[in-house]
Amino acid sequence: MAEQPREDLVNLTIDGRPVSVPKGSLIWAAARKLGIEIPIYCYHPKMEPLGACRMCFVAVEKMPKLATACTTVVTEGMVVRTDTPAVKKGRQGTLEFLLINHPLDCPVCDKGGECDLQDFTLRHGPGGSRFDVSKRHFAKPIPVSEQILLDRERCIACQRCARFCQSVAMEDGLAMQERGFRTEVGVDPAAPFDSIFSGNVVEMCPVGALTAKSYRFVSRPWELKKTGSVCGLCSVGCNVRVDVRVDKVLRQYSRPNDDVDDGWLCDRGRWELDAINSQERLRTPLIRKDGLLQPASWDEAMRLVAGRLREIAERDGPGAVGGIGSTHTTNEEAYLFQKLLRAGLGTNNVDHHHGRFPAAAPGAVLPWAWTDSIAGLERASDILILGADPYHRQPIVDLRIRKAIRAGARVHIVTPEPNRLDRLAATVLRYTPGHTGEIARALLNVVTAEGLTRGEFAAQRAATVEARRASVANDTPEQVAETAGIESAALRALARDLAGAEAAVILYDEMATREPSGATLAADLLDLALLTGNFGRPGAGVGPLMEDNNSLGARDMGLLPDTLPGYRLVADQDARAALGAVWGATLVGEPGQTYEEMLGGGVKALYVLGADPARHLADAQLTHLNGFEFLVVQDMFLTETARRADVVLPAVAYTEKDGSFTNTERRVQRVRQAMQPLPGAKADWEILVGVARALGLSWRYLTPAEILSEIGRTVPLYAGASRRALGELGACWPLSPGARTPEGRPTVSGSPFLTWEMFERGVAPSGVSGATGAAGPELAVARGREE
Amino acid sequence: MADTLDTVITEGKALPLGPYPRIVTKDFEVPGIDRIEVYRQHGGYAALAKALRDIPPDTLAEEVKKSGLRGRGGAGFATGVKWGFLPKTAPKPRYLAVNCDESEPGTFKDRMIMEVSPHLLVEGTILAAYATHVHHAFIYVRGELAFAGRQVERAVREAYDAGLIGKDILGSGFDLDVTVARGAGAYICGEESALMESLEGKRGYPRLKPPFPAVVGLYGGPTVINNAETVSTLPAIVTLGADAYTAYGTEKSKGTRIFCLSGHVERPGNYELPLGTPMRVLIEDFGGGVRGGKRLKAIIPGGSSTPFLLPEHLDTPLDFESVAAAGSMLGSGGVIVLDEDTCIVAAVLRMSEFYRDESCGKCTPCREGTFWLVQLLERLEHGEGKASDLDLLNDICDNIAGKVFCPLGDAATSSIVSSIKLFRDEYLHHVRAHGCLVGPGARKH
Amino acid sequence: MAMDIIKGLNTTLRELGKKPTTVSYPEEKRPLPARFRGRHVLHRYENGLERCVGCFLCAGACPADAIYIEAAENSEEQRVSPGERYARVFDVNLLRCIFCGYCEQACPTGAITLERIYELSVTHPEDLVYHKEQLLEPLGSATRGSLDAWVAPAPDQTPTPLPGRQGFFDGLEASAAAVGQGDLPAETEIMIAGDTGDPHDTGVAGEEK
Repeated sequence: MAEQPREDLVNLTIDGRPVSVPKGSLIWAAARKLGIEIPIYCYHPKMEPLGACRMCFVAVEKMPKLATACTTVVTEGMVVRTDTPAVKKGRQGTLEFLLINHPLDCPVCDKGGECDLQDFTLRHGPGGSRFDVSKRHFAKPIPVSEQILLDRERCIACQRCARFCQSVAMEDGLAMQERGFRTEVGVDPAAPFDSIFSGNVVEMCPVGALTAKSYRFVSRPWELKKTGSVCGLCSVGCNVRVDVRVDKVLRQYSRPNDDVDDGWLCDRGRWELDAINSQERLRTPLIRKDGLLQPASWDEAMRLVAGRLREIAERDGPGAVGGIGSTHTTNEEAYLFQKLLRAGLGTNNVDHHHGRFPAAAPGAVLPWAWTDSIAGLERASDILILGADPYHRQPIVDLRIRKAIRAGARVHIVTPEPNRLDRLAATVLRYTPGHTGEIARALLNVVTAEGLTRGEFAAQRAATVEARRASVANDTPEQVAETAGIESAALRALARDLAGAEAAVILYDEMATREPSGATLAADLLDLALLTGNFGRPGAGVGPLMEDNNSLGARDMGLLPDTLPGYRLVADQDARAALGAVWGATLVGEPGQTYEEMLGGGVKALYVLGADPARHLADAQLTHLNGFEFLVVQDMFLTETARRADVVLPAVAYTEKDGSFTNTERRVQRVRQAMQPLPGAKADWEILVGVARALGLSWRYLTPAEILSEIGRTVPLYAGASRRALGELGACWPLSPGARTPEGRPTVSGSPFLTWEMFERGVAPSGVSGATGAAGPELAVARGREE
Repeated sequence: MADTLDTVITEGKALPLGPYPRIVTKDFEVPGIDRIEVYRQHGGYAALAKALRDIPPDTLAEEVKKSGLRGRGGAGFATGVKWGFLPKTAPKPRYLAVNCDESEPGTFKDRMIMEVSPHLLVEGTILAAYATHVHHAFIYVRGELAFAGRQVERAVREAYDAGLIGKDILGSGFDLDVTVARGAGAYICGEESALMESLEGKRGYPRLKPPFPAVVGLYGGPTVINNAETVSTLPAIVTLGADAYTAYGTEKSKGTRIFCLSGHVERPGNYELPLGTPMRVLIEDFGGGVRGGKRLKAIIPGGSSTPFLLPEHLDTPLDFESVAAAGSMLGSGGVIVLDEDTCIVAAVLRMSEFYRDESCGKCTPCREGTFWLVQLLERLEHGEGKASDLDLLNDICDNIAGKVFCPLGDAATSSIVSSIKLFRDEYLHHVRAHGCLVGPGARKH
Repeated sequence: MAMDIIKGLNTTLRELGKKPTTVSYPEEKRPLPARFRGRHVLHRYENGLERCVGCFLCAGACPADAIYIEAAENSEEQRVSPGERYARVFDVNLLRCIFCGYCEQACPTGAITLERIYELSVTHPEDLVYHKEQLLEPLGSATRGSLDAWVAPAPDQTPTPLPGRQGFFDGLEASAAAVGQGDLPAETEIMIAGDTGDPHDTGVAGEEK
């Protein structure tokens, strides 16, 4: 956080204590800085002040009436008091008013125990009520959406929910109805409240008026164990508080991390926790005996796995063994998995279920990751969404795009299907599914053919630009219009918009690169950003929206057949040697088999961790799956693949283990164990350590933190990473070790955006080995064609 | 059919003029004055022509400032000063909104202007727009006043047809568009910022101030909002000149104003009188005294939002300062007379119910407080109250007044606080005797 | 020496005629004080509905973490308690319980009391985890248990403080009524398996002795 210049600070005193806050701050924020509580209901720091609840009264010298702290902007020399008799009477009066029509059914209210009305009544309110007449009554509760119930009697009309729907989510939803004492929250019957952000209104409701169906009467706050962690459902990596009662995750609440989620959480992250609480989870290792999977002890299972893997590797060579990792497991587990295969079994046959990523191309220094950040979207003037659906797949990125729209950004939606952002978009273009890559090339065609290139990069590399122009010369919008069914004139206009944008962000879906036309999509769009000068500064950039919570981390950790952790090629002798020295093994230089190759029968023994290839395979390929000599599956459930396995090892959910995830904006964040592991199941890293030991390896990891520290020493992108250094909020890679805090805690500093220089020279090695500087500036651009 | 034009004019004809000159309503008895031809025959739009021809906008604004004209909506803020708050330059266009959302109980002057002489309002609107460099004015008519709304809409149409609104008005180069908007039936929309919200098509909630409308108002542009009577006075000021206008009224409350006399008087109605005229003149000479020769009990001098006055205040001059000195407010000029048989508690209850129902529900003290007040007053009125309820009422009023978002909440408390102060015994009678002291339901004990 | 024996015998003789201190339990039992705290009992209203609303407050107050509750929602078809919420599972682990009575004090509806039940010996420890079915007083019985011993009865002439009382729960009263609509008649028909009682045949809070 940058130091505020002196002249932008305003000095005031609150209750006699001086404080300096940025110009334009509210008294409420200044008091908060001093640790003075000013009660609020209608105000929410992420929304415009309203001044409706009249709870935050303070006395300001020279003001005749009490001022509301949530609407009054500080001025130089202001003298504020929060403890005068008048202030106390004002607050007590408001609380008494709020309580006259509020039912005192706290014992059966789901909010009881974490209710602002309870808390402030206790701290600021009158001891009793003088209201001895009849309260207002409503039928209760009524459903306002499929997941939310409304108890109108409890509503204190703070309008937080209605304002969230209108001004933050910018969707239909809750609105205020009626007036005066009949005021209530309601939904337009013609516009159902079906937003994926709806759960936020439950969290922000200061009373129990809006409650979640899934949490209804399930618990009370004091029964919950609350752990700050990261949501494990999509690639945004929203920070959450996992609320657990005994052995069940009841809900996730948002844990504000403004850089990632801005304090919001989507309904999936909030409520879709059935998998964790499922009764169908595996509770014991299974071994196939007499053709049937039968319960076995951990010891027996791990010995069997190690013994058979070793046996096959010794008999048919290490290449006969392979492993398929997961995009859901933690970085630590992905790291251990590939280490087990590379160092323990001597093979590079390791991949994950999305297979090769275009980034893993020869000479890659950095992968195709989002070069900017989620928070950076707010500074963009133009946002292109190509073939992606953030609303459904990365909801909180969608919410940030809406914030960017409010800040003036223009959004261009180019997707095969209707998108929830269409209504707010400046451009909406549809095309036939499967042609995303052609559209990217058409955009590049317009930019190069019309001479719209901009910026230093393009200016210095005329030859590259020319080569690029030639490579997409045939992909004119008119040409693409025929195949992809897109409007060519609009596409041309869009390319010009991007080229002329103050700062544009180009976002595409990771899965679009898997389309037949998408092989060079990532490279083409990177070049598009580079050639239009939309690169290397906040608010400008390009990148994929990832599929799973650790899609990027899995790749970072080397779950790829041709790269070691940190995208260093297995062919790179120095990298191999350096890593081998740490791992105490000699690493193979030959790239291993890919996902498809292994599943196609390229290996005899297959170790599947957290993946379910059987679900995605065609019937013909399934026979291969049945044909493995030895198949190990490590998962939470008896998946399609696990049903065919020789050994099944029960794993635990992300709420039951420590570790770290890397989200779509390259942010490495800590996941914390929120509950005891399911009895009988073990965390993936624990299982891997057990198997490694059974293999005779001398692995001594006791906690995931030790693994993370090793990653911090051996993977340049993650240099300096450790449990303590990542702290509560995480940091975006490339990481570098930072200075220690005054308390002695190590820190890391991240990179909110990637610059071309980082691509050009790689990340400076701070650990064992760095990336080779061999990748010249031209290479990355040309690389797109090489694939 | 009290709201047809004929009856209004018939009633108007009965107005005794006497020595009291009428400036604004001088032509209100003329048949057909709501038509542009008749209006023009009687000198209508001459002031506009004069202003557009001879008086530069800033001079006109200066003239209005000099005239001492104060807002007729209730607050009594000097109109010229208000116009001066408009920033000289702003990135967004500036607007004029004429507040015809007259909903204050006891006030019905704007309605008469709109129904009887809508062109007066339109002419005033054009003058106000001219003086404030506005090129788009809105006339916001209260939703319930259907006839008035139609009259104003027609008048605006006629003015457009006559080239009095539109491009290059009367060859002066001044352009103006006037939009007539009808409210949807909410008292709160008479509050200037709620009026703007309503005009923008939103829920009628008052806005946070600052920024004030003069800086950020309608559609984000600087906006001046004037009462219907205020702008209707402008033609007279232009015709007479500021100096002549200031001859009427008192030192600080200049000019004339329309008083709406209602309640228990012989001749209720609208009477234009110079400010400073004693209340006795209005009630006894013009209104014919208390109906049925009964004794006077209380007077509400400025619409239901203002505190009660007693018969002893009958000689108070009707100007802003004197009424304030007597402990009330001149407000919107709605003088309500209550005779001796009126149960004060019932009257206050009725007024409180109005504020409870009209509270917009945005801020807590007003939304919940008015609800509670009515509950308590209802209990008292029906003889089930307690003596301690009076202190409770006072304290609730104290928790509302000055702590609410907009003046509606303050207004809701004034009648209660003043009536408890002035008629405490009558309240206590309800407690002791479980019934009213006076009126048909009186119960002696 | 002899004197000593006489001295000793003197004590014996003196006590000989007195009533023995011990009692022959279990044939004979000592009277217990009114506020004795033994095993928990869950109470009902006179209309048969359970007083417990599953609010978890007793579990929260319990210093020994002896109470485990799972709450559920009443429906019109299956009404267990008045109001919205009831305890589907209510377990008291008497091995952990220290009989402090905090649960009783925390209860907003007077649903749980510690009664004069102390014969709790079992053969298997798990049998000392009492379930709701064991704790609940039988259908047809509606007592207040030791609450009567703790709470002083209201004076006969207590003026009703509630002029606005509406005949159903409106949140004005103390929290007992607040959460379960107290013992005011439920507004809807009460349906409990095996219950034939007339739902209107209920007592009113103010009339309790």
